Amino acid sequence: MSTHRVVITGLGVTASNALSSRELAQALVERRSGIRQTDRFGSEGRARSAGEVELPDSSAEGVDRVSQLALHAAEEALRDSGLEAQTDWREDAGVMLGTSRGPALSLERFMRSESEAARRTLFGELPFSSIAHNVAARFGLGGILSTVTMACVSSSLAIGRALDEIRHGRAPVMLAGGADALTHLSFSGFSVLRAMTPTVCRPFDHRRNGMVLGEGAGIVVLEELHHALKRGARIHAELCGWGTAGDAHHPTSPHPEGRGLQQAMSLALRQSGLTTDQVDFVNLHGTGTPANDPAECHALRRVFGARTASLPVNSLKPYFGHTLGASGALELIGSVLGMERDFIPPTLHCEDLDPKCDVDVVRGEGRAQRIDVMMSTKSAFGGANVALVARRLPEAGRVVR
Amino acid sequence: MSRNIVISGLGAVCPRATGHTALWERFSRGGAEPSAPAPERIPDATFEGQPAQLRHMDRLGRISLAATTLAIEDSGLGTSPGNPLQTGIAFGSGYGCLPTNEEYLEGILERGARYGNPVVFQNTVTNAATGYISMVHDLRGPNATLCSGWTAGLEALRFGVQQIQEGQAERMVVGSADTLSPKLLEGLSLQGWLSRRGTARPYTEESDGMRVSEAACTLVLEEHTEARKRGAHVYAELAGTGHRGGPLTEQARTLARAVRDAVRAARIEPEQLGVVFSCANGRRDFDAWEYRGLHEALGAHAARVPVTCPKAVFGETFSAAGTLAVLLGALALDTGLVPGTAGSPPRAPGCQLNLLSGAAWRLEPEWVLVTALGGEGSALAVVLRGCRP
Repeated sequence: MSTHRVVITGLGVTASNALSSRELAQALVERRSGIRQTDRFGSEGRARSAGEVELPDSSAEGVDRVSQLALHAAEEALRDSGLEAQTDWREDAGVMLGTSRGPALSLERFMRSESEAARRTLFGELPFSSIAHNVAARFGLGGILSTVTMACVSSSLAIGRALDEIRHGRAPVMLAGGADALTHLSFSGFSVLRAMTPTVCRPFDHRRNGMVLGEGAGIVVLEELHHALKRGARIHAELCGWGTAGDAHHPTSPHPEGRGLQQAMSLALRQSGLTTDQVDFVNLHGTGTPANDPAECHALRRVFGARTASLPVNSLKPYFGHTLGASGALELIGSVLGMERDFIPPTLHCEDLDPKCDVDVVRGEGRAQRIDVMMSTKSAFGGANVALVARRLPEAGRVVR
Repeated sequence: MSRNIVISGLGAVCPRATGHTALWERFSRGGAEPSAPAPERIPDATFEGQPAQLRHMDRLGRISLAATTLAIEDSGLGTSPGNPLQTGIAFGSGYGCLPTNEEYLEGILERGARYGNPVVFQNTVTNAATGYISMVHDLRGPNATLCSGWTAGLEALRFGVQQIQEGQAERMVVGSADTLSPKLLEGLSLQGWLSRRGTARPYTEESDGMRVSEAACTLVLEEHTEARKRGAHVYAELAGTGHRGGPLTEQARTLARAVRDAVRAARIEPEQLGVVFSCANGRRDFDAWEYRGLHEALGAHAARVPVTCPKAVFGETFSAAGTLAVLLGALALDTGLVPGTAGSPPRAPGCQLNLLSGAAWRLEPEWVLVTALGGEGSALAVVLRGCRP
């Protein structure tokens, strides 16, 4: 079966610490977090802080906030790719977006509203598919249109599927990623599960006691390599493989040995045609919850064996919070930005490493290091796991510093 | 498609039929449907016997698991289908966990955020159902949950085909389900999409909207040689799929492009299609999109090819409808019989479709087309081929 190489030609970011990929790169270098105190969800819950996005005045009024976040990121991704100004590519270009909570804010408004007319309008936003549809409609894209709802791996899976569509010649260009907004549903739910920290998110630290929620969107433009080269596009990285696998273990807890994640990483490497020795850096999910972090480290050791000791890893959650369905895309983008700048962003607030997480967690000031191949992994409720592999493409594109 | 992927297991749960045999019997009976209060819900008795540790599953999880267990049993794979690492799952849902989100939100809007029910919350992700099923049947291969509106079922099927073709899995369990909730029904009603008569009569003078229902449907997919090697019954081959999106104003064109892609992937000419399992549901605007889409994609053959509309029998089951139609299409290829559309009111004026009505017809089709239109921008089409020895 003939396959095509797939490259990332556009990055789009909506996060609490950055409203563009350029701002995100800067924030990662400066170790700037967007987590702030919030009273938006009342004072009943365990958590007091969140990564809230301050969207500039948007022309996307009338759609759910989650679509507004996605539209902001999609607009930047297309502008960054240079496709926005070109013609003859929209007809077959697809959209694959992931979300965990989807338009839950519209559902809440629908349930509170006493106006029949308002409820009629809001109903149009209630299907999860409204997010991908709103993006496709805004930019007039006529290819594959899909919405993935896989909790915290949603956007990683969307990106992986989009990679397959291009790799196998079913689409030349795909917008892929995901979005999630802060909602009462999430704030209350993770609070009653006691999954949120009352202090700060400290992935891999022995004092870690939960996550901080955030909202945002991450969207990448994926393109067939020759399609990108032909039009002289700037190439951020090559996306060379992905894998998905289930834990088949528990509805909300990861398998303690990271069983599914291990399989997802192995599949991603196999599809990439790369060995564990070639991977220079792994961006982990790193939620800062007691169960997630050791399970991930366990999976890492199972896949990378002796290499694990010298394999730098990090978590970007403390920068913008756990953005749920958007986290896979946002953190892939953050890692690609680091790769372009020969820099591994540090895991904020990780000071005293938990012995159960005894891997090379990048901390402090971060690490200047050339990265040729990187992996980004995510895990979710339902035992879902996804790994993505990207690499520097030295023969094409230019690096922005 | 380079590898021949076949359907070797069927499972379905509907309000008045559990299992593909009962479903086929109901669909092939033809004629007028017995009246029942709409909307229809699946009786709770259907879930009896499900594993006790899964009592916290929501309704979406329960009906999805019931359909999947039936499909795996039908495939002859036993409770744990083969190498768990090589067996994956893909599930689709139109509205996903929206009903569960509604239930959770009702609780916290009434009593306050701290009184949220953690048991309900764990089901407020649409992939909770997929997770439970993977636990029960030890499915540790590719794992995906899609929520792309009413086309999500066919999209899950397409994803499953791709995973096998691309060597990521040997076998995929694919399915879709949707459940009803008060707010969902209110919203559908506010849009004016529900039939006042409580019937669905696509392409006829009586067509005045949808009749809605819950349903879940699961299929087991694997490579043809593997299925034959283990002596499985092979219902049909998945010969081609098409998936497109577009503006709401161009739904007909979007469907036409999906159909053309599926026919091209199957490497046939439109004239070779022996029957169309249509997604028409009785909503006039929706059915008009499909009508125009079929004519645009199939040309003159659109008026000749026999068309049957399962939703006249089962109602609009959202994402489950596409998978149910594939199940029925596979049985049509397997038996040579094509059931007609329920009811036989006069056809809508100007409708140039060869609508089958009444009981089953012996048509012996070799190729079947199944369509799914989302109504929110996406369209999918699947071409099935017969595998009878």
